[in-house]
This record gives sequence, C-alpha cells and structure tokens, in this order.
Amino acid sequence: MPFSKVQGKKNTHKVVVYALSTCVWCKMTKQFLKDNDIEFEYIDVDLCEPEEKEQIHQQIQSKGGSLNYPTTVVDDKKAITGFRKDKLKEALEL
Amino acid sequence: MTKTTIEAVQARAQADANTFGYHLTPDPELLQGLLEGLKTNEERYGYPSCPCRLASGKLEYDRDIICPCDYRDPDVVEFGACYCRLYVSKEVYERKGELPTVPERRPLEKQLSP
Repeated sequence: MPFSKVQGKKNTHKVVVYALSTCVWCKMTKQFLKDNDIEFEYIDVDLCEPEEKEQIHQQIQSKGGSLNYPTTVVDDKKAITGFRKDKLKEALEL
Repeated sequence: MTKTTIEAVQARAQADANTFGYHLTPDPELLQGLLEGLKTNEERYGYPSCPCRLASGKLEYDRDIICPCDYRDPDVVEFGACYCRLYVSKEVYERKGELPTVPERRPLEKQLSP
C-alpha cells in the first residue's frame, strides 16, 4: 500500500496516520506531527484502490482502531481517533 | 465531472444552517478546510459527501453522509455540533471556545459498505 513518509528528528515511536485527503482534521493531525518534528507515515485512504481500502480497514481494526479518520496508530498498539492533541502529546511524550 | 466553487458550497451550507437555526463553524481555517473537502467530494463523486468520512462513491451507499448528513441533527442536539463540526449550535457558536468532540454515529456496517 502506498504509505508516504514524513521525515522528522523525533523517531523513537512508530507513528502511522490513516487519513482522508478531504478531511481538514486529518490535515491538522499531519501538521501537528510536522510542527513537533515527529517522523510519521500516512496514507490517504480515499485515494486508495478498493482492494487496498479493504486491507487498510483490516489493518486499522487489528490495531484497535475504529474506521474513523484520522486514526493515528502509535507503536502498532495505541490507536487515537480524531485530531486529539492531548492524546497525541501523551502517546508521543511531547 | 461536476464543477463547483467554494462560494457555492458555502452559500448552500449557510442557507441550510439558516433554515434549521444552526451556525457554520466559527473557526475560519476549519470552515475553509471543510468547504474545500466538500467541494472536492462534489466534484469527485457528483454529490457533496462528508469530507471527514470515507465515501464509497456509490450514491446508494453514501446517501446518509451527503452533507448535511442524516446524523447532523441528533449530533447537534446532543453535542452542539455535527460530526465534522461544519454545523454548530447557537450556544457553541457564541461560546467561541474549543469545539466539542463528536463521536461517529454512523453504523459500522455502513462504514464498511463497498
């Protein structure tokens, strides 16, 4: 699947953002991570092929996430639904 | 492809807010982002599905998330804002503070639709 990587100086956590290209809250989440120099990967699910979307749904749910966007998964185990600065700060130790 | 403008999307949303006694979100940056998402979806699918939800591109599956979505009214009543927070109640609009967090009300089976 076509994940994009954003480089950052803080790379102690594995951070994956499942996003929609049309979603302003998803854009705010990505910007928040950039502003805090966090390295992360993201995928805009609405731009994926149908079979990829199915795989992504399974991937998100297997990590405890719901099918809401953005969903940010930290270290493959903590899923944060929505643009929640408080939860992102806690999970990323900011 | 359907072509539309931000101004047309905003005028439609504002008219609907006026009709139902709601307000559009007071945050200008958020409002602009939401309107752009609606415009993109209208041009992509032919209807303005919620920019914060994954549409299938099939009208029969997406009817409930065409803005204003089927969940807006109960969400505004319960939380003071709709899911994407384009529409807010008078109280939330006048408070001008942080917008409420609104959980997804759409059933999971609809989110998994093709």
